[in-house]
Amino acid sequence: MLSNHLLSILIFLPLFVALVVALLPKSKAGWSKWAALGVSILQMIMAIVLYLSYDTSISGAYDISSFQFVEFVPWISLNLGTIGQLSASYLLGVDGLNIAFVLLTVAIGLIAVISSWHIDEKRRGYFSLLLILNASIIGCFVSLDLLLFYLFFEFMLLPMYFLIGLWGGPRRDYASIKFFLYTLLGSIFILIVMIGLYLSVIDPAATAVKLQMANEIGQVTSDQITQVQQMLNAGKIQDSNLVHTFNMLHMSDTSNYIPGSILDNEVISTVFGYPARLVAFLIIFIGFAIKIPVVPLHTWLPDAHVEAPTPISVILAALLLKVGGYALIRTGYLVLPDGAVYFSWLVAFLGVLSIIYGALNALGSKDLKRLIAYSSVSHMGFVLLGLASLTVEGVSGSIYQMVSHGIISAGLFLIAGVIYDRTKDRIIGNYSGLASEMPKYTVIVVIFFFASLGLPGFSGFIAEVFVLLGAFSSSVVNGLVPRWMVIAALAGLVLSAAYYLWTIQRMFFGQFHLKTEVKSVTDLGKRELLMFIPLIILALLLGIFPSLLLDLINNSVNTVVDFVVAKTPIQ
Amino acid sequence: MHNVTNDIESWSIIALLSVVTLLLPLLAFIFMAVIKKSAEKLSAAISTAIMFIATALAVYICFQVWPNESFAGTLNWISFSNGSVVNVGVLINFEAAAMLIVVLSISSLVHLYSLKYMQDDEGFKRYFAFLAFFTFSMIGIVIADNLLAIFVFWELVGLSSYLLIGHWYKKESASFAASKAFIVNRVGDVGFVLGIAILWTHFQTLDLTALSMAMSESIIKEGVWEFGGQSIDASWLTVAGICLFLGAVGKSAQFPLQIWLPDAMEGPTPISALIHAATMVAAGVYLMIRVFTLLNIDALTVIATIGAITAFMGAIAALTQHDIKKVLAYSTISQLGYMLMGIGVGAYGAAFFHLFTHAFFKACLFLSAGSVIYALHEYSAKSKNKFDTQDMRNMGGLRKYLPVTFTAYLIASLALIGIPFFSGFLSKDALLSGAYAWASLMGGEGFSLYYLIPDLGFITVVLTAVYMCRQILLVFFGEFRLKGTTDVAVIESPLLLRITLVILAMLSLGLVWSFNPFDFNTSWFLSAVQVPEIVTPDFDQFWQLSLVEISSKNHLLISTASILLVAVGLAIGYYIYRPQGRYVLNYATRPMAKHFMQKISYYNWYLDPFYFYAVHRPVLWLSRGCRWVDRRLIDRGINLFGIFNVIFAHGIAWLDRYVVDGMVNLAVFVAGRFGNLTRSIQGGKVQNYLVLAILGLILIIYWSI
Repeated sequence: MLSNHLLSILIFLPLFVALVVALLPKSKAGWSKWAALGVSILQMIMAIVLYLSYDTSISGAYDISSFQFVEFVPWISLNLGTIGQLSASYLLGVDGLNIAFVLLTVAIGLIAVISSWHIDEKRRGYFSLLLILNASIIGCFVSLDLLLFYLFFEFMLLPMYFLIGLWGGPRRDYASIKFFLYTLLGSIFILIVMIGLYLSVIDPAATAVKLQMANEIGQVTSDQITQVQQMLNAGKIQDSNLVHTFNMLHMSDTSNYIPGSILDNEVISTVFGYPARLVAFLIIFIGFAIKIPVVPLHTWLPDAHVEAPTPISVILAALLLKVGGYALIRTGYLVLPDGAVYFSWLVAFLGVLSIIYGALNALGSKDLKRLIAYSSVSHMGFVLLGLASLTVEGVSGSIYQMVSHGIISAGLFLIAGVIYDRTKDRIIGNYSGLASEMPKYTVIVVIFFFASLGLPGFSGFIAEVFVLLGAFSSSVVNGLVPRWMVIAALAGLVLSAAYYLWTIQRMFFGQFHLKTEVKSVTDLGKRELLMFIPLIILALLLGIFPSLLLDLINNSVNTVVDFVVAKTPIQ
Repeated sequence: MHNVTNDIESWSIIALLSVVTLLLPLLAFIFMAVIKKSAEKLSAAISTAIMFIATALAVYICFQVWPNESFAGTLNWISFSNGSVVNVGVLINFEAAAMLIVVLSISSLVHLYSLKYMQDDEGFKRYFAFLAFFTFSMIGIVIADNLLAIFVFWELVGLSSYLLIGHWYKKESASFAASKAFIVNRVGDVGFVLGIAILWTHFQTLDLTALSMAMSESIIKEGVWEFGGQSIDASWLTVAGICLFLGAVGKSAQFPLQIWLPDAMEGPTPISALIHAATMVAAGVYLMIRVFTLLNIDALTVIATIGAITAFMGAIAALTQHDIKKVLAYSTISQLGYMLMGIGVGAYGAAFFHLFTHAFFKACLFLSAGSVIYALHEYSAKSKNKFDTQDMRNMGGLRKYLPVTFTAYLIASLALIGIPFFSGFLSKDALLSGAYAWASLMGGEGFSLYYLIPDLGFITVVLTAVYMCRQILLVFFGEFRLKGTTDVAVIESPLLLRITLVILAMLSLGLVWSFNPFDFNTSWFLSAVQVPEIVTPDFDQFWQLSLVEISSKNHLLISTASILLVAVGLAIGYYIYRPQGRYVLNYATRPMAKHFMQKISYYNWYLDPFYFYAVHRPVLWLSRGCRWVDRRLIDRGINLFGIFNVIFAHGIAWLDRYVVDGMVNLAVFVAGRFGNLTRSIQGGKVQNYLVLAILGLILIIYWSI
């Protein structure tokens, strides 16, 4: 019983507790962090159950029957007369594409709570917003209905906006507004495509019910679905009988598209003279590119990171960016594969641009947190490069990179937080020789910096190597990514070594000297070590035993690659 | 493509033992890392003992492999759903086993030496931990059978080198040298990754055995490389070879990336001996030996050329250094150049032989230099006279005070110079014969550019004799140049240091490696090296022409020539740097290099300034440029867009108020409110996006109906 609703519990438990925390009397405000910790631990247990009972042999991707932990409840059903019927459902499920992210969210959620322990300003508000954020991120990852996804996606903005705007640094107003508007712009783009898709796709099962071929959706047979689809393509169904849907899986099936509709792929409609489906891919790509973020749509990220409190930076880097990458696969690649193939050069190019431009900006950053933020931009570039290659190695590497970056960037932002907590200063040039005063901290920094620059043994190495191998072999396998782009991307490997090692050299080596207001620093405490050590263990485990993650995602990735490439014969 | 075992039980005992030699140093590392600081001396001794045990295992493995056995075992590491698989495993042939002995024996001796040498260092525990970690990663490179696995350890070796160069991290120069070493190496590694990517793309495997099988099935016809139903432009084979070589260029400090090695001398001297002379820098050569079957004739020519150029450049730079370790560092660069030249000319066995002999005599030289530094350090402390203990201007006449160190230094130097009866003579002779044979095959009779490569090799023989002669005369002969200042005497280094020197000096003798010290053909070692049977299709014809045979026939001519050249070099060296000569008498106060030729040598061909202006600065400019674009273009554009929206909202509000006032009173109210709201929150785009979204929606609905 419980396991049938595992995903819903994962989402609604934090929401419920958030409400309770918000309503706590002021004298009991101290309980809020314990409540948040409790929720995170419960979620952790559920995530372990999820991981252990997940069947890796089933691929998911676009076929609802091969999803696991599926929950389906009809949600909105509106009869719109001649336009047909609007239907949206509460549809959740996991497959190889999102399970890793659910696990990541739960793990990072727990670490974020631990790292929020010393927040004592407006605690009830803070922890309830943190829990809402946690719930909506999980919601984003497991929703299979586009409207539901969009709802969670928008809902994520709200707590984030307030968390930066109320608990942030000196320029928090500017940063939070910038973050809000940028992502809202992205949302508009996504909304446009969502509406287009809604108008073009029907739910064949619900339509069958509407046509009175069956009494309820559960009774519709696959033959009937095929029959409905044939009728649809022959134009034999009246508009008023069409049940439009937001179900992403229906959107992947080309036979569910209404002939002549805006995003139909038989009769190509055009927008400003360009095929509508290609334009739609471009628009939705831009929408998610803001989130990932992709150069030149990235400038919200450094500001948001620099101003956000440490735990929020961690969530932002580790999870929010991944929502963009994941959703691009789920809605961009699986729903509009033709666009994905057509624009693969652009996706790859922007990926390479992000890798190099982000790294160069990191090299020029004087602020430690800004440096780490730009390194995020650079590392997320690998995600795009891998995706664009549409090879199994590349796409696996891409998902691997997202998970790995989730772990490593969390550590990096915690590192920036540690020094900021002590001195309220993040300027690299104001420190020297920290190694002799903070030996434990130095060890942690060296580990995370090397993990991030792709040292073998850590997860980032596996990810980057397979992105590069996949992207390079793409030129032979499907010809989507030109070789020169991969060669250019390699410059990122050298640059990342340069900016990290230069930072270590400036801040940690040499004679101890501080130019900050505070003149002495203490080494890491137990609570701080407790945040770093699990992350290091995770990064090492995924670096040494890649099959831990690859086994989860392999089948789905293969299905995605075959699906996308098969839908669009490559010339 | 080939059968994958996923079952460690099917591994042969030797393959398993090689894994044990890998894990023992890892164990030592973990042990050193977790132990309490108060127990560091004892645990370092235990760690040293572990290394000796591993060395014994390596010797046992080598006996099992002898003369021509090979053992392999592999496990599935990464598998993708499309069937591509990356394995990790071990491949132990004679080369691997011999390399295991080199790494472990020198590592053990360096451990032993460091127990004394580093005893007062505050980073003692850290030092031994990283030393063990280095040994672990180096063994990984040696035994791994797969390019990706080799790359993994290759990077870990780079990390340990970084950490050990930066051991005295409080010194700015040491931390700079550490970063420089890692970043320069990364440039080479990028090439390595690209090479791996090319091979993966075309073969879908990275196993060395599978790759050489694939190579045996390949044919090259009219610039097209065919194998297993695929055909690709043959130039990819060249590119792949050169890319893999780039990795070696970084690690083995070859032109144009040799700039990091002299700086790496900032690390403790035993580290220089182990990592930056004997083992890690030789990893590039070893890699080329492992992937020899993939190197086609063009790639080999590139390797030979770069190797010969580096050998020459390094020897020139070694001529004028004042730092005792810098001379040896440039000498190492030069000798590594020799080895890679050997690989390039197809003198496979000779290159490996030289790697082997060089490892021992160069480790001996470095540790002897360490012993000199140690003695001078003690002297400096006792006489309360602070001076640079590595500067040869503060040395001279030390043979009287340090007899054992001097003897070891002399023996190792003679091996390096290439005097008969010493190990270096045999291996260098084999290299030069190989180079000469290759040039005659490639170039035919008469004048040909290919002869430049052996010629550079011969010139380097002279230069090597000169700079080593200089160093010995400056350090050990003449008068001690700081003598006048106090009456404290320099005393010989402790027993532990001397023992290691004696062992290494003995291994630098020629008789150990060949029954006839004049003829490398009789070397038992060289005869054990099996030249690979499979090579690239285009290189095969040279193999057929028996490169090796020609080179062994040439040997009498070559060895006579090289003995003569050594004599010339020694004569020049003695003449210039003789104890009572002008140079030596003024040496203590010798100013910086003035003459252009001297500067070229002293500043290592001005490579550092070249990179500073050609790479370092432009990259920083580029980085500043990107920052400018980010701040001034993108961000300002976005802020302007925000301001524009506020103005636009005002405009709308104005229109509403004065034009359509009567019509939509409510709209005015809402827009006005919204305008105020957005004005106060700086961006003010919300309204516009809503308008945009609604417009978009209307447009789409319009189109779709």
